[in-house]
Amino acid sequence: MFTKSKLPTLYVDKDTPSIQPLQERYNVILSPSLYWVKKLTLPMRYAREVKKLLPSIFEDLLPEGNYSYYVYKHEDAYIAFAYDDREIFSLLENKGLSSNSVAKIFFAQNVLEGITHPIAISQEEALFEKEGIWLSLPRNWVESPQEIDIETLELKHPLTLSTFAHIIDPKIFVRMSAIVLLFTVLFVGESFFIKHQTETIIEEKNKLFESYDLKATSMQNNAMLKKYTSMHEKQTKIRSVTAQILSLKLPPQSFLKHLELKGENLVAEFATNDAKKLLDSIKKLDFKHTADTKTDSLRIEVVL
Amino acid sequence: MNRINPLYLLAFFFLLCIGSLYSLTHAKDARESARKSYEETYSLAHDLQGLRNVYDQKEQQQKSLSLLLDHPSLRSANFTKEQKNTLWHVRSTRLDKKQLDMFLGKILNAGYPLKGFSIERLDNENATIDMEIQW
Repeated sequence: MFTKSKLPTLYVDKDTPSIQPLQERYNVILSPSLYWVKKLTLPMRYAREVKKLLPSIFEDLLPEGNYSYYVYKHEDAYIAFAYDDREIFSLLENKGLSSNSVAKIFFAQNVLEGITHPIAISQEEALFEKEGIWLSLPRNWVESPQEIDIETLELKHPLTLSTFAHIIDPKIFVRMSAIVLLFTVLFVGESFFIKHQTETIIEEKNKLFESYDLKATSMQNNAMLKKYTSMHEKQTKIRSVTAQILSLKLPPQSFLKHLELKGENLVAEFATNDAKKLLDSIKKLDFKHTADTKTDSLRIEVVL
Repeated sequence: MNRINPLYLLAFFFLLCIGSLYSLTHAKDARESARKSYEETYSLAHDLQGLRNVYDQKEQQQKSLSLLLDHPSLRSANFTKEQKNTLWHVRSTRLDKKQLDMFLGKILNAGYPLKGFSIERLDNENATIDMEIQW
């Protein structure tokens, strides 16, 4: 709260002439003309509760713009400030003070606390206290103001200026950042969880290779499956066609003379005197065939 | 004093968020791909195991076929067995209906890899059979 800095201190007002910085950095005391101040007596326990009310308390007083608020407790009252960060920065820059050359900023109200006599700031300006509030007035309005060495002032309540408060409300910025970061954390967390699941699946897959005695590559395994599937299809068909032929209901005086499987062909030869009826029965079966009919026999060939 | 433009910070946070979302999408894709691969491998392994249990039982099937040919009911059929590496040639020059039914029933209902066969009717009661099984 209290700053005893060895850095030089500058008093800045709208009428302050441009400064040629000799030092790298300065502490800056802002003239009362650069902020609005109110002394409030409110039944609040904490300054943070009062700060929430400041926009409405200063509402009628402030011109249109983006303002920041500051409050601290002083004895039984609260000293509340409203200021325009952008305007102060702009003024400091106009006076030759870039943000890099400003160490800390103070309100004149705070650093003059405890002083009871009017203060002469320049030939034209003086500061005058009325009911605990320091006002900037023309020097000739104030009775016998005293010169003061501002380097001897105790610098209290440094101010944090928000450079970009006019771009985005800090509260909105914090909320948006929090939401975006929350989603980021959720996404990252879920990514880790999913990566862990993926690793588990890959481990389970590798276990399949051991437990089912699979070959190292899927190409080898697919080739093996293809070989066995092809074998299974052929063997199933052999059995199916053979079973259907053997269980065929033959016309009277008919019988199966010969049944042969050779290569991809299954040939059946029937002795029959009613080839047409037999052929009709065969046509109802579940396989394609070619037939060779003779007067006393029927030969069918099935390509498997 | 705040010297970083909050819009840049917000943009940076958004980029982080988009990056993490991309990472999440990528992780989901990788999981889906791993799951698909697991399911394919499981299906392949399962099918392969089923087929192996039927067709990759060479020793067991050879033993079982030998036992079948030595079965008392088929003894009178005088089956002969000729082995050439993995090819077995099984023949009977005369077997009756019952023996043929039994033999074919056992062969066709098991997973013997049949290469070829020939069944010839001799008369009302008897037939010949010549069968090749290739393991």
